[in-house]
Amino acid sequence: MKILDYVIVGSGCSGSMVAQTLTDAGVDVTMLDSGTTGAAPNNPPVGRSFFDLRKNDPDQYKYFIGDRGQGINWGEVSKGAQVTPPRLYMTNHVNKYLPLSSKTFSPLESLGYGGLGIGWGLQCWEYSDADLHKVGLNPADIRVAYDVVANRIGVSATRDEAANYTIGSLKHFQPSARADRNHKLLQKIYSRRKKSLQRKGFYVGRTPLALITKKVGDRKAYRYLDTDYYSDADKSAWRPWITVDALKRKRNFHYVGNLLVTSFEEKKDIVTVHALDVISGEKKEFLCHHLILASGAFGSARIVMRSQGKIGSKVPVLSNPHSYIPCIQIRMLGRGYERKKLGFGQLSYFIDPNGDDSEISVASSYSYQSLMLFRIIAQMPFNLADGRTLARFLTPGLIVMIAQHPDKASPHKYLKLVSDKDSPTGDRIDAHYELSQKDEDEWNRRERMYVSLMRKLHVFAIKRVKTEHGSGIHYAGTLPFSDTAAALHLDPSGRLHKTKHVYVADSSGFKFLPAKGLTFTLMANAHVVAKNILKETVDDKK
Amino acid sequence: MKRPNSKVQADILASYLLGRPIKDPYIYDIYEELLKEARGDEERLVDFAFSHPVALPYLDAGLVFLRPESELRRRIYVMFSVLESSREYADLFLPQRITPVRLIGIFLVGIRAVFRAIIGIVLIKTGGL
Repeated sequence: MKILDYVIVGSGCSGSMVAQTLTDAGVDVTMLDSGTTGAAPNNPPVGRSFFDLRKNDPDQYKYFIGDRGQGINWGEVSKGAQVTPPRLYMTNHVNKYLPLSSKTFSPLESLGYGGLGIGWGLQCWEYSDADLHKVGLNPADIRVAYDVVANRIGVSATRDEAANYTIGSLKHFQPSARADRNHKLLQKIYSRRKKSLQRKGFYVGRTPLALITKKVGDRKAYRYLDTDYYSDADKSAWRPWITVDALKRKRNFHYVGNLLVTSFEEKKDIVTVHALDVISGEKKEFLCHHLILASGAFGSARIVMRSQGKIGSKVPVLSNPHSYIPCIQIRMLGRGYERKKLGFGQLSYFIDPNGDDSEISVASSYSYQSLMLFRIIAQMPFNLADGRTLARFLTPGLIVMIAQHPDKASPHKYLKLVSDKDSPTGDRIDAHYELSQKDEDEWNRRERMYVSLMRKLHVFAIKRVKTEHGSGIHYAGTLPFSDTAAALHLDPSGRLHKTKHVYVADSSGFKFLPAKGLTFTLMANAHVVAKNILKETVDDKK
Repeated sequence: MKRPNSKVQADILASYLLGRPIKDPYIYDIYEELLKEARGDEERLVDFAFSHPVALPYLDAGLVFLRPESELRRRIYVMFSVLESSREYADLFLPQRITPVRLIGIFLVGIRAVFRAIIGIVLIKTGGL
């Protein structure tokens, strides 16, 4: 059997970045991936705006609610609330191949081509140095990597009042997309009151996004079609599959799909990788010199625990607690439909009374339009017939804020791999996640502060919607970084302790999870891990 | 009380929500498909609602406060979602530019919603629904 040089597991945000760094270095790279993809009939036609589709397309139900109504969710706001039918494929096969049982934790996992990056909100916030230290990452390395990643994926941002919190020292970015009228008004009010608000440690700025506003190669500049939750047709929003598709055209990159990597074993500098064909159920094996796991904090932990016979052992888990805060901007009520607008997050809000950008909370805001009324109508205190009339009046002024909080490891937040004879892999994860009362109180206090400060911007909260733990789709910390060689831990370079050539390039190593979404940092970390692997390979040869 | 079939149920719900008949046949299909997930509880309430469609606005409004995740509200919600995703009714769901006259209308709808909720709560509690 041929021995492969570098095998990467997973095609998500980390996998695609580590793959590009290695491929660009000229080494031979193979990506093993489950890689389920979407069914074409559920995708909206290319180049048409949300308004045009709503008014004219007889097939719109297929992508707004799904051809069998599978996109209609009833009940509490839960995981993947913003995932629309064209993106539902990201969860195909998950219940079968990634079984997870929990009464307290409800994470979303993906076996899709591009992983959880398929539904990423595109926010590219930089972590502060203080937070990077707590995460276990080297700020100097990560700052350089932020620019490398920004260059690859295309980031649009503004160096404004909150730039220290949003883009830090980032050098390579395009101008932000035009804010919609709701957020323009909000910015105007903030700029009038910013001195007094900043004295309280409240900063508001444009959210940096992995969205291009100027054409790059075959990726078009953003066209304000407001179909961002349904289609990536223009490729203006970066998704991992864009990078993997481009890599597939290179001679030193090979993609093998339909594979779920289950475990590995390392003997005499050779790693044997065991996988399961997700279509046929057939078992497969690959040999390699270097194995790089990038299948997410849950996926990588599963593979490592299984490979090291750690059935019954617990590993920690981190996930950002978050709440939805629907708000009303009174002056925008009844303003009708905005035909050309940005659908992604527009403004970021930071409360930092100490001024040190450490362990702060963050909120981002969206105008509510293209996700349709049915996703919010059940949260309103009206019968649905009258609710429709009132919602049409309210939606032009409706701003949804998502407040996120940092997370630390605790004995009450863990994953445990247990035997399960009904699972194709012979096991499942039992998860438990419980916040301390002190943390709950602190997050509630901070959310009340957001509500109070937003009132000063003439934006009024309707309610706070607590979500299930894990539904924020930010996960980390399952194989934490450690300087001492302990099992189920990573060394600071990303190598799995007790192995010589197995690395983890996703967020599994993060010892702390700042409130700012982790995706940009996990991509930067993937680049750093790839660089470390290349360096160690050169050192080994010497 | 004999519950009407899914097609008649769909017509009743569309009439309640929009005051208009169903034009797209797929709406019936999706409603029927999603009825497969119906819970078996609240039979009496659901039967009562479909045999007395005039009570639907009150029951819906009352359930918001008494049992927001009830089976009857789930059915109304499903129909709301399906109707919203139809081209035929798009104009009835898209944000509306408000004139002073319309603003008075909105205000009256708000008052009606409160009135319906009060009647609905009394109806559900006294009727044992």
